[in-house]
Amino acid sequence: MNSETSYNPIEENWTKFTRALDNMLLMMSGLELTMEETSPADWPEEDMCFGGLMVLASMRPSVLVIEATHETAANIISYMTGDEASQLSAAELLDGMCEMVNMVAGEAKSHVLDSADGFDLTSPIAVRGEQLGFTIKTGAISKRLYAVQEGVHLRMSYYPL
Amino acid sequence: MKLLTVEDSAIVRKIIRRAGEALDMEVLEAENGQQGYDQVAALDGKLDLILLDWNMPGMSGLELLQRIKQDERYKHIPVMMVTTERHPEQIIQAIQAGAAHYMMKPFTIDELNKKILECLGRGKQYEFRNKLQSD
Repeated sequence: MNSETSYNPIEENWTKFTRALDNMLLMMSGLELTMEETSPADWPEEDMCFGGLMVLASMRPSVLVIEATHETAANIISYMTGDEASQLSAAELLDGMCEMVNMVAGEAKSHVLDSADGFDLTSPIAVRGEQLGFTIKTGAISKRLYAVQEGVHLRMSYYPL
Repeated sequence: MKLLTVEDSAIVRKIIRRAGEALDMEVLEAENGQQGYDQVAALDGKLDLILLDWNMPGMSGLELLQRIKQDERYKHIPVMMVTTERHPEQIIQAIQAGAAHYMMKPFTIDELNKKILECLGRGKQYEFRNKLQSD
């Protein structure tokens, strides 16, 4: 097998993002999640109403998106801060989504420093709404992850542009 | 003892506040570099530790670190960077600018507590306390 042709930077980066998400959740909130890679068509209907995203700047830019239900965002940030989930404001949940995507991208970046797949972080962006859905029309492969634990329903997507 | 956290994320400030208060420290907050500098000046440098994010709107954490360390009145204050930035060149840049410690996000509360105490010269005390609790 020719290792040069079998190397897939999208798959390589995706693995780094999933590991970084896993690590971030474990370190910051103590949560260990079961993660499944699924096609968007197989996703259960859930109201993802908080999203954090970051454009990863490089010669081949990409976008990393983390989406969560209100309950999930509140539970994760509650575990992080020690606050009651019900006491967290929407502004705090948006701030937490920004910080989550920032930490996941930051850790993934550390594994591709000075390589062709390297990227720079940009300012994280958080969005709030009902039934959020992100579509990036590049025709490129998008990778999505679905993580489930009781009270924690999270999706992460990666869109090379 | 007084700890100042300069960090644009309210959630991270809250986590640091909890950690500092658990160590019996008074925790002050600033959400960008300029606010942080203003607090240092208002307190006339009477701070025991500053935790600094790197990427913030306006004055960055590195710029604030450089201002503090170049000022005779404030350069004695230990500063720890707490950031997602982890390029070796950036770590070297921060250490050369005078940072006492560099902690990467994400972190555990235990790591945060330990590094705060190390910055305060109480790291051994923390390890000893943890050992006693685990024995």
